[in-house]
Amino acid sequence: MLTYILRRSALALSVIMATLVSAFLLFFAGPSDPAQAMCPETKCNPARLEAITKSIGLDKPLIEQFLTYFKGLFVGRDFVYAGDTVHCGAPCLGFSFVTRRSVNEELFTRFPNTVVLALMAAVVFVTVGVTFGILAAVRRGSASDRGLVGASQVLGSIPYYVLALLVALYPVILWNVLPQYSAISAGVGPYFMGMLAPALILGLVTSASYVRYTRNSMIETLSMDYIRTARSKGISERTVLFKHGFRAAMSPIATILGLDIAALLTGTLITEQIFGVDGIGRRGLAALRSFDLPVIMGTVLIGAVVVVVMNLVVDIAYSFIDPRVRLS
Amino acid sequence: MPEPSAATLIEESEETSSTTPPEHQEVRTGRSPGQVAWARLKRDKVAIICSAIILFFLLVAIFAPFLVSLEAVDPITGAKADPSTVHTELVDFNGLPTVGASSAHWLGVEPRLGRDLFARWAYGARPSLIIGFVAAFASTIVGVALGLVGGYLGGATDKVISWIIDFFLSLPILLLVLAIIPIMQKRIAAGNDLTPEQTSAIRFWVLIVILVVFGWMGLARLVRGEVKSLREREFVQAARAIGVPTRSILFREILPNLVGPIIVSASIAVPAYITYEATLSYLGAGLVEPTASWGRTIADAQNLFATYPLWLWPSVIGLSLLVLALSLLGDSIRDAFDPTSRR
Amino acid sequence: MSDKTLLKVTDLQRHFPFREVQGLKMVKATVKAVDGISFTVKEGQTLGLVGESGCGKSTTSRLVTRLDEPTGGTVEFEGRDITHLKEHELREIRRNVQMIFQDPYSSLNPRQTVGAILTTPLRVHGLHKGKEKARVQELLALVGLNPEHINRYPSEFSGGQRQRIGIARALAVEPKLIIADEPVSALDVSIQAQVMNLLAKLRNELDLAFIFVAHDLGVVRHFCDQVAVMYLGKIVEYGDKKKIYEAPEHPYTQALLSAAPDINVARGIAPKERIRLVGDVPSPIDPPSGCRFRTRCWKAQDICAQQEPPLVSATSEESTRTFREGGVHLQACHFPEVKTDLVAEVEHSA
Ligand SMILES: Nc1ncnc2c1ncn2[C@@H]1O[C@H](COP(=O)(O)OP(=O)(O)O)[C@@H](O)[C@H]1O
Ligand code: SF4
Ligand SMILES: [Mg+2]
Repeated sequence: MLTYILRRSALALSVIMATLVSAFLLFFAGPSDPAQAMCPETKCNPARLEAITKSIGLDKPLIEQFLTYFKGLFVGRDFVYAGDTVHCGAPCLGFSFVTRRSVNEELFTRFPNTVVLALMAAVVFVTVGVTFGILAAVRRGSASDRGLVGASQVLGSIPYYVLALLVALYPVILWNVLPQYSAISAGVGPYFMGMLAPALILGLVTSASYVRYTRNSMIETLSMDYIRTARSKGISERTVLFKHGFRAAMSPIATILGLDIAALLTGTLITEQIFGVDGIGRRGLAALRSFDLPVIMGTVLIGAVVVVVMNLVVDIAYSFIDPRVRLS
Repeated sequence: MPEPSAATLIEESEETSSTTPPEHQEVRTGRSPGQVAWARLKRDKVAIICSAIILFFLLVAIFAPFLVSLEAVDPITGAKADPSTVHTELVDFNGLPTVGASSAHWLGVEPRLGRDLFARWAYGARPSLIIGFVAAFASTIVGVALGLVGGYLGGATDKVISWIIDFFLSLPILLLVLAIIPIMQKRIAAGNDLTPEQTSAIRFWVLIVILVVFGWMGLARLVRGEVKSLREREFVQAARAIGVPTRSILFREILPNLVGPIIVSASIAVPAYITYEATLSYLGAGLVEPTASWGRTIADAQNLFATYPLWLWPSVIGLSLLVLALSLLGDSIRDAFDPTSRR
Repeated sequence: MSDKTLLKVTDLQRHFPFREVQGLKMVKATVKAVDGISFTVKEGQTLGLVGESGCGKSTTSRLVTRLDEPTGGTVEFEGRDITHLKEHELREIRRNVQMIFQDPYSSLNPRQTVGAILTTPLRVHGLHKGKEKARVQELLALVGLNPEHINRYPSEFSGGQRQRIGIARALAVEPKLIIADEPVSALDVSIQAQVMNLLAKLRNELDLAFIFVAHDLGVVRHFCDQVAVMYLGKIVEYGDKKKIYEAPEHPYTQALLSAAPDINVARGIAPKERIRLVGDVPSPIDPPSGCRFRTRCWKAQDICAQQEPPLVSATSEESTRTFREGGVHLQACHFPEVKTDLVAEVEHSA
């Protein structure tokens, strides 16, 4: 077990390191002129270019730049730019020359919004997915089963952003059925109400695959011998379903839950953008438009760390449930 | 050899000569799994409807010029419609079209630029389909090649390939792709004065390359796993014992056993890439003007969705229907190869 | 029959290294699958390789056919050292040494027709150019299959028929030596006999040399000239068939013989003494010191744990060297003892 955890963690660490290095190369060596690339386009002049170059040492060797960046991740660093000194605490992800704030300030303040959206969506897709999945399994072969499976297939097949966009445009913006997003500073109630529409659509579409997973794993469980035995003992159908079937069907579902972190992250990115939720995905996209490289890089790194760490947690948790995993 | 006993010993329970056709001559109809899957697919109504829809969009894309030529001559401009010519005379100073849907413009004209919307819709099917199929084809080749090599050779090569697969799979790909595309574009375009058409063409190919670079891992992992188990199978050992060269073992012995999963994976990849392209276009890193594309149109049209739905909806429907049909067909193909996948 | 040595295996060894984590440490360990075995096969002769599952028979087969590379010792074929030849240097060996596999379901490519399966060896070695089809049909007839079935897929055949196809494939290159790795153990008992008959017939007609691998002494009895009994990567007894069956000296051989069903039970004559082996085969990663059989041997003494018994003749001072040149009966036990009462009735060959 320990072996597996160690090996798996080493892999995760190597992936994070590799992401860091390749992201650094991409953003600091990829553009033909990084200073130019990081310079806010409307206000760019030689003096600013000079200041940017100075501030993060773009004139120094690439290795040195990387080491400075790397050190910043652990001990933080200070940026001197346009007369100001901005402190960026560990883990320092850099400095935005567009907003003149540290990347941490830009991203970490928005992170909770992303987490709230993801969690609310998770509540939706787990409830909807498991409920309808079990329903379909119990009524296996009936019209409602076929309808549920068909609907989940259709829902999962249409490009997600199109669905989300239509929901944002019609029920939210045009018909005002659900409120639009508002920042938490405008009140906790409106904040969560505003999160409802994006969380619902993200959760519903994500639930499409969970309906099928739950249905299949439930069917498998229900056909197992011990369930048949329980039935034949005259225990009521409902008790059989909920006590035996449900519990047994949960373990594969629980593992699947963790597996699609990357997809969920992509989902929140699109959702935030479409519904105007002020999370790190939307901030990253805004940075993309202003070509704010340090912020883009920070977003990529946070995304990678989240995916890698979540996958690590899921894999280790899974290895407790199913020992075969460790051997592969 | 002074050893007749093998034959004599066994004759008590057996026919004397083993050259007469032995055992039972039971014969099952021999069809390859591909043929079986094909037969199942032909009976699948959903698959047939989906194929018809896909065929429809393929025809629209191929015959876009012809379809557009069916529109009447515009009485104001005095010209036939095409997807790229801007007609500011067809919009008012707010940018709203002055003409509606008519025989000259089946879907009206585009706000602001006055381009014919039907022409842009018909031509817009092209990039989606080309990107979908080309990227799926290329990533299938890359995935199969790396999976084959890693799975068959094993050792260090395999370790490296598996690590790269794990690495790519844990990247936040959408965000990374969004960031890489403009950087790559700037690199390629650096120092050259490019026309918008050239820029657009560069973007088109950059997009395909990026989609392939970040899209091969799933299949590679699948193929690697399959090859690892196939190479231990005795028929591969037998081929080696005969002296069949490694290349032939990979392509003639192992690969034919992977046709099913490869076809399934490729057929599921096509709609995924089309979706990806449209999503990227929507988020600002996909295709750029003046190429007509559904994703681009949806992004532009959302601002006027309430006042001018005719701009938004044809592309929404076109994209959704095409992707839906391709996905469901992919599901049907998977079910045809593996009937137990749907219970 | 000629007396020419076809295959000579000397101190053959195959260790599989692997790493294992014990606590927080990474420990290197080895599976000693084959650990120094020697034998020879003469032209047209058959050696039976017998031992419980996991004793290294398949690994030996794979080393001799050079599907795997030995980590020690040598393999010589017709006097040529082939131990470490590269794949491209093995062409001639691939033509002369063939293998028949255990599992008829996995040994034929399910995506190829019988015709394609049997044409491959012809094409690879450029045999019967232009007349491949005729040759394939001839091969099918030779193994007792209908030559018309050339376009069928393996799934259309039964297990026994598939095994015949596997035999035809091995014969296609007209080899001198065939290694048959438990070729009938996956088949129904009635069909086993048919396939054994076929092999015996082919061996006599084509004057083939065989290494016949089996996990019990029953199957090989009427098929072999010599028998080598393996235990945990080592040969514990080796000799002419007659000696092994009539006067086994090693306790392990005696146990195997006593357990072989069709020799005793099928004849309805109970042997006077019945030996039952208890316990499992120890791990080849960390085999017992001294004699590897001692953990299951009823005769084990202190010396068995300290000294490894050499493979020597029990009755005379015949040395290992003599054996390599074709000695008759060697065994590796500190306390060899002939038992003649294990086989109730021995069929004497002419
Ligand atoms: N590639 C391998 N790696 C590690 N161990 C192996 C490998 N192949 C075989 N072994 C081990 O070598 C031993 C002998 O295996 P094998 O030759 O297949 O035995 P047999 O054919 O007599 O049943 C077994 O313990 C097996 O686990
Ligand atoms: S050497 Fe000892 S342990 Fe080994 S077989 Fe002989 S008596 Fe038994
Ligand atoms: Mg074996």
